[in-house]
Amino acid sequence: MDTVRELVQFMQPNQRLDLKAVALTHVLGLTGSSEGKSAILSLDEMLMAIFGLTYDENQTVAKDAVLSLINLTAEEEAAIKVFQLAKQVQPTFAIVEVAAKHVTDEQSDLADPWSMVLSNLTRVESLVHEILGTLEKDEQTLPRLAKAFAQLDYNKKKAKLHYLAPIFCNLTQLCCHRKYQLLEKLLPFASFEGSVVRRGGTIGILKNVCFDVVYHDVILDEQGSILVAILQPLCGPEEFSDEDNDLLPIELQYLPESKTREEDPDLRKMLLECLLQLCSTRRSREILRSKGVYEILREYHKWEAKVAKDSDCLLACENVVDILIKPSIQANLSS
Amino acid sequence: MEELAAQRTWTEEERLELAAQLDADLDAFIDGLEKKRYEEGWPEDRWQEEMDKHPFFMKRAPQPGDDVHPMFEGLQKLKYDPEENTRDELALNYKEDGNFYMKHKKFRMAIYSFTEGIKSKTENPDVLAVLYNNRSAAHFFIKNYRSSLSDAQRALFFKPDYTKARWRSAQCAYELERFDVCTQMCEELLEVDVDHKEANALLHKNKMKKLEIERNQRKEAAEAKRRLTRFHRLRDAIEQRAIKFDDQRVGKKAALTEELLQPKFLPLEDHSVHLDEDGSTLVWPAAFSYPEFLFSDFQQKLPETATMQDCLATLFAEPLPCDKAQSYRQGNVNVYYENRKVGCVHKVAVEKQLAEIIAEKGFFVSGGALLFYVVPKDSRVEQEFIHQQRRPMVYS
Repeated sequence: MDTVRELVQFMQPNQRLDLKAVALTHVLGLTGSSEGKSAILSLDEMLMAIFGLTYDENQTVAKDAVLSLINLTAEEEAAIKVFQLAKQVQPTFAIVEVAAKHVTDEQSDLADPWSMVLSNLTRVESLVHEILGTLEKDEQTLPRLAKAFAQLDYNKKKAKLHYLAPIFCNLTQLCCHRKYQLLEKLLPFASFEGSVVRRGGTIGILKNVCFDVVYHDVILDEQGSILVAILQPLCGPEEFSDEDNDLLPIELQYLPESKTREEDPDLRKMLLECLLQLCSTRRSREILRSKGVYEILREYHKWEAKVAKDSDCLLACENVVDILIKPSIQANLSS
Repeated sequence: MEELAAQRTWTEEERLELAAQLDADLDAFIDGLEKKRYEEGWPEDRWQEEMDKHPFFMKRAPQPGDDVHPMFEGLQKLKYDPEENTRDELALNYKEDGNFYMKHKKFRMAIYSFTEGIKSKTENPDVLAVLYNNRSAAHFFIKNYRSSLSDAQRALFFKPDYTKARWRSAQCAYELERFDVCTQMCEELLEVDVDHKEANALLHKNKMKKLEIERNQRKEAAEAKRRLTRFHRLRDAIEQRAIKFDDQRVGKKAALTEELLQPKFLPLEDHSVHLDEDGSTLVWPAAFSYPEFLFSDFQQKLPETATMQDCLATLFAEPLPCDKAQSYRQGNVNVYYENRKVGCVHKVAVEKQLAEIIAEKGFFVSGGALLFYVVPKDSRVEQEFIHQQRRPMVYS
């Protein structure tokens, strides 16, 4: 504890660079263990020092400071503590604004680390509402974050910004901002092979959206691009007859031999849960049937049973198929 | 004169006198000038012609080949001479010309004018942006979408917020099926103006077209693959049976091509040999030639499991129209095939299945089909046919 307190004086902005760097490296090491984390979290001055160093001119120092924050916000209680403290200090450390600013800055070297901090913070249910409020203050922020996510080469310093996916996913738990223009841009990433984080976050968003019945009409509209995003990872290379192909949405017709399915079983399960949610009204079920969802799941079930063999996924699939193949027996769901 | 000017007051008389004096001086001067007739005027009888030639009064522009009035040339020089104009002025002059042509739908002339404007090497980016943009419009109207896109992009280079040029780029990209460029242009337009109705519509139309084309490509690929698999199975079946072809090169392991299997006889064109639905029986096109009548019957789909007997039954189910003597009946004919390599004929045992006949040493598939000759038994026609002179085929 005392060591921690001693380090604080070396972590002031006007200190010598080498002292700052060494002290911070030590702190970063401490954040790797739970004792270290508690020690740091119990000392407000240390947290304030870390906040201060995120502004440091030296990129390594700044980066280490942000990395420390990532570790410190990894757990819910700690995240709350960090968030509250940031508000209380004088001057206020506008942690959300700073994070957003770095993520939307094309030239920032710290975009990825800050996105991870924000991802941690938004995971906490009690904080999400307030964070969203802060982000919505400037109406440009969310669209810019969406652009940063959708445009793969947005950040010129090679930051991948994959963690924007979980950020959006966490934000969509609140129903007030399921804005569809935003969603359209994010949809292709439900099949993004380069990063399971990106894929997972996007699929999480889809699931949150499907949970609200009000939006089913939008999801199952003419365009159907949201439905396609859900179905695509479940489709494989198997050939369908011409008649079956005609039922399917155009993006899913005549898929080539090279098509692979989503490899993470948790994500597959989430997609199936989306479909299950969409089966809740009779109208939706009819639309799903007319788009060949049964045919897709039939082939998917064969593959899951023979190749992937995840029992949770098989069960989830069977739940959906059961509902789809019972046209006149109405389940005890609202019509 | 000086003395007169020095006087302060003038009387009326003195003024009048001075005036008269001045008049007289002028007359004297004029009279002193060389006397010449005014010859530069227009002759009275041809004044209308001259009017038409004069640049200020001409009713139509001079066409190539016309004599050009010197004044017209002078005006031209004034307008287009690089020495008379700064680069900017020159460029703007050409721009005006171009716009004029655009209004009158003379798009190629407009392109020429704008090009000259660009060649003036003005450095003003706004002027260049407009020149490229307008040339892009001209190209667009005559459907030169590639040139139009290229010019519109150049215009954007000089003036990045040039909405008209960006919108035209989007439209050109759509026509050229460069879907990603179109999407990008539309999105940029929508970033600036979220309600740009046409951009929204085009974005949608573009996406639909892209998806459709992609799907059609995938469908094509799937069908091509199916065709190939079918062909490979057919090829394997034929190779398994060691069937020989007339046109195939002997000696080398010549590959079986679709070309080789394409029937050369017109009535059999669309019925090349294929495997039946079970994938086990070959189905052949065949020609039955009647040397007596010099005409042939064609059977498009004979399974290899059918016997020659069966084929004859079908052929003579009804008598041949040209067979007056009714000698061509099922039990009354002999069937032969030619071995062109050796130059002789072989008689067919009619109880045999086609597959067995094809497997005989001397049988070759000819022109992608089975070829048989039918003659009445023990007839002169038959004798002539058998002894007809045949030369063995020369190997290439």
